[in-house]
Amino acid sequence: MIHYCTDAFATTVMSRDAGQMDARSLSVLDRLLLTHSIWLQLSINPDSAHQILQREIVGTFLVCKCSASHRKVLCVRLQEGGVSQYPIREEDSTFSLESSALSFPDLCRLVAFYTISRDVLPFPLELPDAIIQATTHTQLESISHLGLEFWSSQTSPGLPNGPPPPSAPHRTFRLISPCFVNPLFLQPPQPSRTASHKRHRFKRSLRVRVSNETSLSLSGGESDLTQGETHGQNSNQGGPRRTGGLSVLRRTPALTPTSEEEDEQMLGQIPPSNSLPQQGNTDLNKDTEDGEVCLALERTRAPSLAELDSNSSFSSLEEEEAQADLAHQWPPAARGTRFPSANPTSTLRRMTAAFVCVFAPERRVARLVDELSCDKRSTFGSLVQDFLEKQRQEMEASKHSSAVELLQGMRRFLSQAKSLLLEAGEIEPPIETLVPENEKDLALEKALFGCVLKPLKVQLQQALVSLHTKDGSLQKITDSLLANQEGALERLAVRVSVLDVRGMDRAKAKLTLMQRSHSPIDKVLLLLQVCKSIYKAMGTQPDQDVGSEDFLPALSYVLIQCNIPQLLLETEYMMELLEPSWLTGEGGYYLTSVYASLCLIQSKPGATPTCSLTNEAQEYLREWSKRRGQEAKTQKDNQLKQRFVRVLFQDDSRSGVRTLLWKTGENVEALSQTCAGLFGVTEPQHYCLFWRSEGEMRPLPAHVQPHHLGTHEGASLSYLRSDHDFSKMRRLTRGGAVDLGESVCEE
Amino acid sequence: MAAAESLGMAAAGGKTYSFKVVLLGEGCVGKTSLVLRYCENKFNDKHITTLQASFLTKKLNITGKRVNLAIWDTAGQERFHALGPIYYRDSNGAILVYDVTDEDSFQKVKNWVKELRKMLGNEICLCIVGNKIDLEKERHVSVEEAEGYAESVGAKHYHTSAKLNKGIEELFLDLCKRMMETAQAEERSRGNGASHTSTARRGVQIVDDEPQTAMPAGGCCTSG
Repeated sequence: MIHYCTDAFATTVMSRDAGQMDARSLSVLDRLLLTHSIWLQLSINPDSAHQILQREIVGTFLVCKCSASHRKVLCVRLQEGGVSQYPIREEDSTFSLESSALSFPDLCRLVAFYTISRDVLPFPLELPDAIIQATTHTQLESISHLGLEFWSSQTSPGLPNGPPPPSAPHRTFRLISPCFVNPLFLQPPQPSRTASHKRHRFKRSLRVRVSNETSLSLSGGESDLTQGETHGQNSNQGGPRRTGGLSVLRRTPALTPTSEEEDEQMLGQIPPSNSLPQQGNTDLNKDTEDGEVCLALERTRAPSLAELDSNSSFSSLEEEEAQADLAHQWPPAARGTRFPSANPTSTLRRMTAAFVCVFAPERRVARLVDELSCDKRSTFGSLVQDFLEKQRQEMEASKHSSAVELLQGMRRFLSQAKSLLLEAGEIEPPIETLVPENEKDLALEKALFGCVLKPLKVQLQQALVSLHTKDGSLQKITDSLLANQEGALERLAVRVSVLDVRGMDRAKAKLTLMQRSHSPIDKVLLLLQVCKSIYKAMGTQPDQDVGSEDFLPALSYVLIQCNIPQLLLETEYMMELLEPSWLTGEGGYYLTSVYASLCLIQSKPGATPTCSLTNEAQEYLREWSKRRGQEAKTQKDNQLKQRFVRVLFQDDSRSGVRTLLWKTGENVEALSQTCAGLFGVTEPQHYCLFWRSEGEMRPLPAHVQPHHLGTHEGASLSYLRSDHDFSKMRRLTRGGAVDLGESVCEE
Repeated sequence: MAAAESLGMAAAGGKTYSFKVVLLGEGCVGKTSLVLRYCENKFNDKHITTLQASFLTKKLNITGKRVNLAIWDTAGQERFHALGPIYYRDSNGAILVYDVTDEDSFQKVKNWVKELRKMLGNEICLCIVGNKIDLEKERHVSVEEAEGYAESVGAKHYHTSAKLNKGIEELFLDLCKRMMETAQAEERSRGNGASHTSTARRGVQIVDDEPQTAMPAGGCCTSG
């Protein structure tokens, strides 16, 4: 009957062979993952979603994006023919409906949950019939290739444009197996200032989850079984289902309340609400999240200094442990069924792997990106592998004239690869479903560091040392550090307390550890920890303002005592490889302070102050500023000159999706030829490229250039027969997906 | 959205401006107190009093636009002067603080102005701030002189008292508005390339959005 997954998000995947499996072995989550291109429509706004949903049955939904607020919105078809909008809140690494107290680690799980339990919705969400009735991955995949087109079709021709007849609002049976989706935490509605509190809770609950994950869904299984069967009857009332769902949730260990002690602690750090004097300025509204007002810049998502403690996680240093953890985490039985062995590199496997990984969301992204980077068949993978290959050769042949040049090349590539990931949509499921918008960039940066810098780490390190040895800078800093060992406190005129011996050892250990990481972000985090310890050691009175005046000499003193010449290389590494816009944040500030300290240490003792910054350093800075500006400009130009486009292909028997790099100047004809080759079309004269224009799929005009496609992430073209019958395609793939000769699972 | 992303912004909702403001001035003029006062609600908790005193952030909402300010303190003593460029590069704004009771500190401000204009040109918004007006009686820098000078170098002049919390909100709010104007002007003038992109973007929205608006009335349903 109804199949139950043995762990919270496990998807029971047997085989991709059509006909050999029935619909029940595909869970809701599987279906959602494979068909995100149908229900996730971030390029359309709620109005458009409204139009689409009006023709659908009650409960049908879309996730779109409000162009005004830039927020994702869940749009649900209501009974009275209306469509309700539920804005999705994305914060603290979680997704939740704004009106609900339930949070989810990603968007797919949020949606999956609401197909089972209504919570704040009037009734649970309904997946389109074609998706529910599909019995194989192949079917789901071919449906997913339709993308937005899916909705242009009409399954029941008898019901055009109107509300569905009373008999049809809900399905009377449900084929698919439910899957249990546990929100990360459940909390009673609380005043809005609890954001940081909540984040804290999340961190804790995540920890708990890791150890209990596999047993979660078993609780309450019985009651849900009943609910699943009687779905048709009682979903109208909604009440019982909801209660049932929630009671299951309350029992889950993931929802264990945080300990009193830690709550206290967190609350203690939330300053009293807005104590700023009101200026009567109507246009100056303080951010409502008072507790967060002064945390680090949004763009600089390294934790702020105040948040940092020695327990901060360093993904680049923990990877090996993490791998080991993962192996322990899942009982062998569950692991055995998780991945289909028949097709080890299938999209589904990739996705499933990402979904069973319950680490911080950004690590799931890192994993996906890493796997993609190793897959040379993907555009991203081949780009990365080619780059690595080329870099290795160049470093071997010592082709670079300076360390800066070498690192610049790396950063350029990182930025390019990042825009590819954002534009080409090769990450499956889309990154938009995995991490909140404001964490996307950081997650991608970290992921890219992992698949580009990590494989090159050893060689890159050697190359940098060799280049700095050649230009004498390593020797110079070594000498300066040595020369400053005596009487540093006096020379630097340190007026505050500095680290004691133990503190100094710890600082040294951190700076040494820094050299083991490949990730500029982790290096900065370590640096921030050192800076924090220096501040702490200052031990000044509460009413004493300690600014840069006192910090800089103290920092310089610590750097001299630690005596690590390689810090010069590390500083340069971070400055060159961090995303330029991040350098304005806290990490950037303290990195700058370290750079300033190193300049101070190298300046000649007793030299006149205005000359204390060496000419080279001044020159370097001027050049650095100019270059960064130039790079930003070049990057923008590149975006105008080339586009990564997704091309969907479909004919009577086959379908597929590929990503192509389309450069300005390359005409549509040439692009078509490329497609013919890619999709193995034998009669290219009968095929052409289509795009969506003025509401219709039309042949792509010959004069169209990449920039006409705009900057949408999802911009795609279709490569189809010139005489393609779009209505036929819809019938075949939406309503008729199950008629393609594969057996439907009869109830 | 996509546009904001390609510009490297965290576009969680609408446009967010991020500005870097550098704080310059001699050691004892009260730079740090000024900015601590501005961001003071962070410092009520005694445990973190001394933390982050040289780097502070502030979030504002100005006419519906979100602004993130990163305020960089610099070491003001003469011996650190040469390190200035390391800190002020890439700044959108500079707050140059002097002590109204200290003529010498005003001269230092003049030096900074010269240097900033030379190194960064006119893109940077300058604020000259006479701090410690609570000590009006001991004033050594005349209001006329200071304001006249500020005007002559295209800077704005403010009088503040960190002690009495006077003039500080206005100073930062004004600076933010000016930086936003500069940023908007820069966006506009970023050449034709940028305007192309924006029209292209608008074009795409039409491409993507109109279909749906057209569909329900259109023949899709009947033809299917």
